[in-house]
Amino acid sequence: MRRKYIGLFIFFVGIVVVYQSNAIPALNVKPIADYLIKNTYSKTGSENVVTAVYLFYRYYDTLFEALMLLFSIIAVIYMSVHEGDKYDE
Amino acid sequence: MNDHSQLLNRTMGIIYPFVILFGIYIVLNGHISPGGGFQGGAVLSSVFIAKYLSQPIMFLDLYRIQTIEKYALLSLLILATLFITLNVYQLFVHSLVYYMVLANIIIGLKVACGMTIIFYRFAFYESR
Amino acid sequence: MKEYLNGENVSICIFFIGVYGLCARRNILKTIISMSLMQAAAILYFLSSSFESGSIPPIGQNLDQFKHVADPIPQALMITAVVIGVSVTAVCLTMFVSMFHKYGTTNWNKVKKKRGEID
Repeated sequence: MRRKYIGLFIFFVGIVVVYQSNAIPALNVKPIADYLIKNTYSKTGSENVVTAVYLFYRYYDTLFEALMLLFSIIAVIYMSVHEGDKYDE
Repeated sequence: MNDHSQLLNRTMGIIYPFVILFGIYIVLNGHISPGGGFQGGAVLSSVFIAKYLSQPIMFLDLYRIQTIEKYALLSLLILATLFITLNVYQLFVHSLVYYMVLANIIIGLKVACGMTIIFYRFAFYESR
Repeated sequence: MKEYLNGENVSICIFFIGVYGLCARRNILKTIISMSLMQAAAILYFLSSSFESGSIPPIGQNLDQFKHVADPIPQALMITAVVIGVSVTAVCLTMFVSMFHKYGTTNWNKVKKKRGEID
């Protein structure tokens, strides 16, 4: 019974969110994308604009994503040590 | 995974070099074609998963792979700081292309090491 | 009816399926599955938010001669989000396995009850 009430509530919330999302007018002017598409090859020499974005224009994103991958691997290694393993360090 | 399949062993033995070549191709051509460090690293790490499927033995030193990954992150930080924050790329003509190829290689190495460590930890340490 | 079947509405539906799994189910594995489902929905929403029919991929030398070129910024953001989702799911599963070996159950309430007995 509890699941039915929760499902009904979330269903109506989802209907409202879909309606609101369709009520937002679409963006027709994209100045940053136009600038990138126009100037990326002449400025960086990279034909792939996506690579230029994540390595040159927004490189902090890539750096801290790499840091977070390293943190998650440290977490996986130090949480998966159980007592009595034969592979223990 | 204790029984060794003869068919899987032979197929993986043929397929290894092509998968490695495909991953290196994706990483090195990240700046002129669809691809890049993340995708190529995932393809490179799938080699070790195939190796595990054919021969489920522990042959890697995970501590050494983690050390490689730490130094890859350090070199990525140094490379980005040197090229972009300190404006070295304005001194040479096509230096940003070399920066992108180098950064893609380092990111590919890092992602491949990370996925390999996660998969081998789950396969050998958590499967009881 | 067909114009409402775009990527944004589908991603909102997937997101609320994930919210239902988080709220109504008490299994830990289903919670982790719901979290990765919500993350996939966020990725799909970002990728389809600036979609135009007939646009070409942003690869090439003279891109400004084409009329519709796909927006490169959400793609570059979502490349990193995919790797972050993989790492978050890996850490969640590792913690779940340790918890299962300690308490021997996959239910949130039973875990809470047993933890209350021990501490």
